[in-house]
Amino acid sequence: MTVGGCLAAAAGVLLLLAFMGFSPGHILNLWYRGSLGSRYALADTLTKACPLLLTGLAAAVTFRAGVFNIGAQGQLLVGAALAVAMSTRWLPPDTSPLIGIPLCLLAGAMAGALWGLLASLLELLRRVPMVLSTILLNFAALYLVKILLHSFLQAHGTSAPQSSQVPRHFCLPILMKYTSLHAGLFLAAGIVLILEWLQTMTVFGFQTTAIGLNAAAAKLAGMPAAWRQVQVMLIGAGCAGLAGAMQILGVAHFMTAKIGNYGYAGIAVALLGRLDPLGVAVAALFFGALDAGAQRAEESSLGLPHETANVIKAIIILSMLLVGAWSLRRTLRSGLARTDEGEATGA
Amino acid sequence: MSISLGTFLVRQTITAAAPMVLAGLGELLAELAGVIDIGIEGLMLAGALAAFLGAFVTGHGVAGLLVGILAGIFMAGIFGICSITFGADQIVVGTAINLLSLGTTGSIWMLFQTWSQNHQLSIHLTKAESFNRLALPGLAKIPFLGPAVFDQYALVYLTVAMAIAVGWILHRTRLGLVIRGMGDSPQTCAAAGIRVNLWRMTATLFAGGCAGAAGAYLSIMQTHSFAQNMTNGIGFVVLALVIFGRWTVWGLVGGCILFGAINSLQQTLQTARYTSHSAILHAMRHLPFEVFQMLPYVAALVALAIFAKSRPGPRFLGVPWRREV
Amino acid sequence: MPPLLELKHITRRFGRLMALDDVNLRVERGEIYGVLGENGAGKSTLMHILAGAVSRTSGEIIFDGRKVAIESPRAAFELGVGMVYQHFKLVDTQNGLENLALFAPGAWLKGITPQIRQLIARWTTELDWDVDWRTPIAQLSVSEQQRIEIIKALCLGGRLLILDEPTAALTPAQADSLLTAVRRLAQRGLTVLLISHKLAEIKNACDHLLVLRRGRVVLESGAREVSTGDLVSAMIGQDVTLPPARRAEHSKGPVLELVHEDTRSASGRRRARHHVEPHRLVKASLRVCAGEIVGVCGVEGNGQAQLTAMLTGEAAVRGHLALDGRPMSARAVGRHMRNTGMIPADRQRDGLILSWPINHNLILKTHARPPLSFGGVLRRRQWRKHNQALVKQYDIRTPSLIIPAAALSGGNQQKIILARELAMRPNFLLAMNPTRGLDVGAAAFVMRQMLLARDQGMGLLLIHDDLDEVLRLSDRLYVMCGGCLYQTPWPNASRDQIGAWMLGENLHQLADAAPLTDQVNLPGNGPVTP
Repeated sequence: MTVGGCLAAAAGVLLLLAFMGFSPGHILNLWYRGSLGSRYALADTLTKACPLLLTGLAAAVTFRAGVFNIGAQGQLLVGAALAVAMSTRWLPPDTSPLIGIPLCLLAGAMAGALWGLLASLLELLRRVPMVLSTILLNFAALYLVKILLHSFLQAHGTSAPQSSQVPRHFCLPILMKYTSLHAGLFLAAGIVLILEWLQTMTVFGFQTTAIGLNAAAAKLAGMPAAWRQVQVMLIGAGCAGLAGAMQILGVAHFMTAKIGNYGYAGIAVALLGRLDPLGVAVAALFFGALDAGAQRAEESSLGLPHETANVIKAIIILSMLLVGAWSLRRTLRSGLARTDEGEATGA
Repeated sequence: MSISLGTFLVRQTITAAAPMVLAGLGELLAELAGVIDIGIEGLMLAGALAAFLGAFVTGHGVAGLLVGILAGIFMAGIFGICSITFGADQIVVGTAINLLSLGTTGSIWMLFQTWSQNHQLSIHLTKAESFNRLALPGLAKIPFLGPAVFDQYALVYLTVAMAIAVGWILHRTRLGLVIRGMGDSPQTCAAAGIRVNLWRMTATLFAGGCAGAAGAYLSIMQTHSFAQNMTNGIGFVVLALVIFGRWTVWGLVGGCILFGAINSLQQTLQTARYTSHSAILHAMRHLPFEVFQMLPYVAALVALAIFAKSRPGPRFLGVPWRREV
Repeated sequence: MPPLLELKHITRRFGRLMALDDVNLRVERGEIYGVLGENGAGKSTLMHILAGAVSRTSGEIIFDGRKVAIESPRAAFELGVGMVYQHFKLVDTQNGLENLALFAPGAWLKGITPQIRQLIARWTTELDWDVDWRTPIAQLSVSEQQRIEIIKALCLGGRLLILDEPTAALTPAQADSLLTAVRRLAQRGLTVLLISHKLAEIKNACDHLLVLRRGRVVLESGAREVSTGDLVSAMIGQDVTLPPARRAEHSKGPVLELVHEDTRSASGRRRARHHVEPHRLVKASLRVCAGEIVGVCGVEGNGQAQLTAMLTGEAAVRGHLALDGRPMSARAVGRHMRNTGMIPADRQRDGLILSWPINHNLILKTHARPPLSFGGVLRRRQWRKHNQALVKQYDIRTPSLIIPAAALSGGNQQKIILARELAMRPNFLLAMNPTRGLDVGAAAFVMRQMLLARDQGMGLLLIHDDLDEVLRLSDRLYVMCGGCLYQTPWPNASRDQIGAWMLGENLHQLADAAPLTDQVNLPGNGPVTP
C-alpha cells in the first residue's frame, strides 16, 4: 500500500508535468539515469540519502514518543556550524584524523542535541508548545549560523558568508572515486541498526513507544514519561546535528547557510518509514533517489526544477496520512463494535 | 513628500503588521474552534505566488488578490480534508502542507522565471497590476499621523475593519459562542445540534482565505514580485503571536504591532547605523545585519516563554472531533 | 388524548451487544416517569435516543400522537424534548447566558436576544430559583450548574424534560429541593422522565416506574403498586454466586497510610478553572493493611477523583502519605506507581494502550523487571512464557496475543489489566470501579481474583460506586461524602445504614476522619472480630 501510494504520487506529478509540456518518458528516463542508472548515479543516491536518513531518524524517534520535533533543520545547522568550528578553528591542524574526525562529528551531534534540549526545556518548564518552539528555533539557528559565517567562522580574505575549507585530513574518507560517497554512510547505517535494536528489544524502546501511543496509561504504569521524552529529544536532535556535521565533513567541505532543506524533508522520510528506523532507511534511500534524479532533470536541457521532488514528497506524506487515518478509523470502529460496552460508548 | 523618521517608522510598522494581523485573525478563529493549522506559512506562500500570477495574467491587482485568496482556501481545504474529515494529526498535516506549498511554489516559480527570461518579460508587476498606497482623502493630511496611518494599502484598512468585525462576532454573537464552544467543549456543541466538523471546516477555510490574502499582500503590494520562500517564517511568527495574544483579537493585534515595530526598527537600524552619528547606533555598525533579522524569532520565543504558561488555550485545540458511536 | 410519548419496540445494537432490546413504554402528560436500572442496563442509551444524540436500530417513537424520527438534537428541541445529561453539556469557560444562547436555534449574528431573556425569566420564576447567569460555569458549584442546565433544557424543550441521574452529585438537601422543584413543574403540566439507580428517591418522586436490565424491560408498574424488594430483584436479577467473603482474621503491617486535611477556604464554591470534580477532598484519613480489602463507597463526585489522584501522584497530599511503610511526596508516589497495583476507572483511556497488541499490554508494568528484562534489554522468550501463563490463569479469551487490545470485549480487557497488575504481586492494589460495565460472569471473576489476592496477603483499596459489591468484598469500609472520608463500623452496620451515610444522613454517628493515632479504639480498625 505504501509503495502504491508513492508510485501514485509520482504518477500524479508526472501527469501534471505532462500537461505543462514535459514529456513523462523523458523525465522518467532522466530520473532513472540520475538515481540508479550507473554506479555513479547509485553513489549519488546513497550520498543524498545519508543526511535524509539521519534527519528522518531525528523526526522518527521523537514522533514515536509523542514529541513533535519539527526542528531538525535548526539542529542540523547548529551541528554543521560546530563541526566547522571544531575542524577549522579549535582543533590544532596537526591533530590526527583518528581523533579529529570523531571529535568533529561528536561536536556536531552534541550541538544539535543541546539545541533540541532547549525546546524540551521550554516545554517542560514554560509550557511552550514544542511544535512552535522548534520551528522558531529553526529560524534562530539559521540567522545564528549566518552571523557566525560573517564573523567567527568566516573564511579569511572573503566578504561572502562562508567558512574556510575543512582541512583535507579532517574530511571523511571517500569510498568511491569521482563521487562524494563518504564513509559516513557506515556510521549512519550503524545508527539505524542501533536505534532499531533500541526500539524493539529494550525497555527504553518499549517505554517510549508506549508514551507516544497513550501517555496517560504509560504514566499510570509508572513510566518516567517526561524524562523519556527528553532523552528521545537528545537522541533525535543529536542525529540531526550529526547529519549537519557529516554533510560538512563528507560532502561540502566548507559551510554556507544554504546547506539544504534536509531537516524538513526528514519529517517526510520519517512518516514514509512509519517511524521505524529500518523503514526510515528505506524511505531515505527512496527520497535520495528522488533527489538525485531531480537534480539530473534540472541540470539537463529540460530544466525541470528540482523542487518537483519536494512536491512529490509532500504528496506522499499527505496520502500516507490519509491512508493512516482511514485505517485507524477502521480499526477503532471494528474494535468498538466488538466491545461489550454500549453504555460506555453511548453515554 | 518627505516624511520624518518617526512617521516612517510608524508607517513601516503598520505595513509590516497588517499581513500578520490578517493571517492571525483567520488562525485565531480556527484555533478557537479547535483547529491548529501550522500550515499557515504554506498557505501564505501559496497565496503570495497565486496572487502574483493572477495579477500577472489578468493585469489587475484585484483579480490577483482574489486568486491569492482562492489559493489559500484551496490549500486549507486539503488540510481540512486530511485533518478534520479524516481526523489525521493536525500538526503533521500542517507540516506536510508547508512542504507541499514550498515545493509547489518553488517549482512553479522556477519554471516561470525561465519562461519569462525566454520571453524577456519582467518578473516585477507594473503599477496597474499591483496595489499601491491609498491615501485617505483628508485624513492623510493630518500632520505626523496622516502619512503614517492613513497612507496605507487598501487591504490595511480592510484588515482593520476585519479585526473589528471578528472581535464583534466572537464576543457579541451566537456564531462567536459556537466558535469558542467548539474549541472548549465540542461535545456541548454537538449536543446543541451543531455540526462540529462542518463548522470547523468553515473556520479552517476562512483562515485559508485570510492567509491567502496576507500572502497576496506580501507579493502584489509590498514587493510587487515574488521570491522563493518569500514568507520566510512570518506564518510561524503569527502562530506564536496568537498564543502571545492569549487567543484574543486585541492581544493578537497588539502583538502584531509590537512585532511590526521590531521588524521596522530592525530594518531601519540596519541602514541607520551607517548614517547616524548617535554613539549607540555607531557602535552597532560592526554587527552583522543577521543579528537584526534574527530579532523577531528570538522575540517570539521569549514572548512564548513568558506568556505561554499564563493562559491555557482552547482545551480541545488540535483534538479531532469524532461523533461518538 | 393520546399519551405524550410512546416508544414501540425500540432496539439499539452496538456491534454484538444489544444495548436496548425491544423496549416499549408509555408516558402520560404531566407525569413523572422513572427509569431504573444498574450501570450499563441501557437507561442512558434509551434517553440519548430520545434526545437525538444516538440513533435507534429499529422501533418507533410516537410523540404527541404523531410518529416522529428524532435524528438530531435539534429535532428533539423542536418537538419540545429537553435533556439534562448526567455530565452537563455546558461550555465551562462561558457563563450561563452565553451557554443558553449557544443552544438557542437560528440567528447566527445575534447574541443574547430578548426572547432568551424572557424564556429564562419565565422558568426561573416558575421554579423560584436564584441563578447566577453572569459567572463562568467553571466557577459555579455543581448544583448551580445543574440549575442552569435544567433551565436550558426547559427553554429549549418545554414539554418533556429528561433528567439523567440528576441527584448523583448532589447533597441530600440539594437533591430534595431539586425533586420538589421537579414535582412542582409536573403539577403545572410538564412531563418528566427521570433516570436513576437510586431506589428510594425514584420511588418517592415518580408516578410510574420502568426497570431495565441488560437492555430489556423487566418491570413496569405504578410507583405505589410495587415494593422496594420487587424493584431490587428486578434491577439486580438472580444473585451471582461468590465465595463467601471471609473476613480477614488479622491484618499485618500497613501498606497505605494517608492523612489529608485541606484547610483552604471551606466554601468550595470558587474552584480552580478546569477542575472537574464538584467536591474537593477536604479531610481524609485512611489506612490499608496487608491482607485486607478496604472499601470506599460514595456517590460519584464526592471527592473520589481527588483521592485517586493523590494515590497515583497526580495531586499533592496536604498531610502525610506512606506507601509500603515509606513516607512519600507526590513525585515519589508517581515513581512508585510501577510497584503499585492499579485498576483504573477508565480502562480504555488509562489502563490500556488500545492500539497495541495484547502481548505488550500484558507487560506494560512489569517489562522492566526480571525475568522479563535484564539490564534494560527485553527477554522475548521469558516474555512469551509469562504472557501465555497469564492468559491461561486469567482466562483471557482471544484468538491471538498479537491483535490490538481494542479488539477485545470489555470483560477481556479488564482481565488483561487484572492479570498484569496482580502478576507483579504488589503489596498494595488500588481498584476503581473494577466491575463497571462488565457482564455478570466477568464481574464475578474479577471479584474472585481480588479476594484471592487478599488471601495471599495483598492490601486492596476498593473505590467503587456499586454498594453491594463493596459490601460483599470489603473487610473494612469507609464512606465518602461531601469531600470527607468517614470510617464505618462495618461489618457491624446494616446496608441501609451505610446507604444513608453515603447520602450524607446521620453522619454524626460516624467518627469524622480523625488522625490515625486516635483510631486505635474505633470499631473496624485493626483486627476485626465478627
